[in-house]
Amino acid sequence: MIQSQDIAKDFPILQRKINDNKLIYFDNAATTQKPTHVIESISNFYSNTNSNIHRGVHTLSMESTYEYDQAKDKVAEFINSPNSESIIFTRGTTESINLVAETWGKANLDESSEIVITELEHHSNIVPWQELIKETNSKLKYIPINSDGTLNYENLNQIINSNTKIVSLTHVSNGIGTINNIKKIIKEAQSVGAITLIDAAQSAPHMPIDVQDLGCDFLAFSGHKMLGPTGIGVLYGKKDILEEMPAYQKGGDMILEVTYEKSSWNEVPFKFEAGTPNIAGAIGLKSAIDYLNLISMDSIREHEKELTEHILKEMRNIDGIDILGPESVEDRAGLVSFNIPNVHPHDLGTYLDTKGIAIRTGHHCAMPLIKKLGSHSSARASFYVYNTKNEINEFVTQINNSIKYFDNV
Amino acid sequence: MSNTENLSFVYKKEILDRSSNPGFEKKIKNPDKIIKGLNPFCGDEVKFSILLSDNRVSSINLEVEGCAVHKASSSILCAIIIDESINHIQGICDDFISFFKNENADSKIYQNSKLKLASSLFDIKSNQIRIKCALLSWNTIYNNLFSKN
Repeated sequence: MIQSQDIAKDFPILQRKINDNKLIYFDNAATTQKPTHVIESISNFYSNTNSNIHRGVHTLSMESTYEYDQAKDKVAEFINSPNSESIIFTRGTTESINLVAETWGKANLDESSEIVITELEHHSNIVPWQELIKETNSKLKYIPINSDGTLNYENLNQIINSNTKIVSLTHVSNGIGTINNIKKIIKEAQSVGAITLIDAAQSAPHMPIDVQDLGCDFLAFSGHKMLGPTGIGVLYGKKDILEEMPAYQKGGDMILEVTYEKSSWNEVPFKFEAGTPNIAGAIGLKSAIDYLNLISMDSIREHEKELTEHILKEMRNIDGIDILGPESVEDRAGLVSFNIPNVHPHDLGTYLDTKGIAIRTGHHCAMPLIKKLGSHSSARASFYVYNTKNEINEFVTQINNSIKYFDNV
Repeated sequence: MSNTENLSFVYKKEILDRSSNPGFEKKIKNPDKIIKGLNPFCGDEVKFSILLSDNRVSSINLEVEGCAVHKASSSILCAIIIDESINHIQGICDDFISFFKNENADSKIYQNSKLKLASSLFDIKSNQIRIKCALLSWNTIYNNLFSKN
């Protein structure tokens, strides 16, 4: 069992008071806070090691290169990638998905091709495909959801068929917390020879991920949602597929040879990392993974299940509350999206802020999903390693207070 | 804001009253203008159906979805622009929007007698994150009512 109170002490920002109250940070699906360990690793890099990588022969460059490469090895180990060459550093999940759509997509899709995503997706796993179908005349199909926000797997073998070239779906819904049965969908995609991309932005930070066990071809996630810095993310890709793909951005570091007439590309993963990468970001991400490993991803998942079970039990006592997403914590990540009668999510968010509680309100970059579930927006509380049941109790108390406040004014 | 008491800075009685009953619900059969606004960051929406006569807003129907501030602000805007000439509305919106966007635009808003009706919204200027809720409808009207279409 995680000792969240002790863990919270490692996060300087969690000692802050917001509007005279101790901060309760429940906006972890948007971004997570950073432990001293991560902050110091970045500061230490800039104070002692900073240099560009892969080119210089001086000590600083060798040290920076070593640390950057170590970060890549660490990420590979974190998701059980068979090798480090399968790990591409990007700016985040959004860039990772765009990279696949722009390179693999444009090279492999035509008017007979179908792309399959789901109705649960974040805008970042909808918009790149919507743009790609315009350029390739391919089709975009959606795996539908049930009213409880779980995927409807009934007609899977019709939606995913011999025309399907890529199935790209989220592991965990950022809007409502649904955990998808991605293994089942990957298997279905494999049966028709389609490749798969898993958006793991909301799962890699919260539960063990094993790309070899999953069998996916691509997997994308972001550093800042797992205690790391912003501006660093990961695209995992099977090496043979990456090798066949055209380059993404072109320029320094991704080339093998350049003449005035033409250029050839470096091997993977360098082919996909043009320009000086986010070295400090990669080092920060490595520290974040070290920190998460100390706690263990299994324990993190168990901790969030406990918190989610607790909050669902407490929140179901609120009159008229509408909790979006699956009922069972087995099918739900540490995230609760909800609406309460007569208090709009923004007004609730402003009220809770005066109590030092940070939540997300709005459509959570999943506009079609929230509309499909009959709302324009929702309030969302999402948890991480430093959150406690006591914080949830305070949160539920303040929701009840907000209902009274807006009723009585 | 430091505590719940200071919430009254944002949630004045008029704002809460108007948000629960924005009014202007009477449908208009053949509106001269249908103007829609959306805040893509939060999903707040508004739709104005407007009947014009002699370059004045003679009738207005409001459909609004969103937070208390957005609903109240939309309702107040309708109350201000009904029976008003389009030219005047442009100036009124300009003064209101400028007040929220510029540090030193306070004097104009207090000089504009039509904007007295909107005074319950003025304190929202101190809550940076909610200014967009107060301004969505005003920007929507300002950017669309005066277009050629």
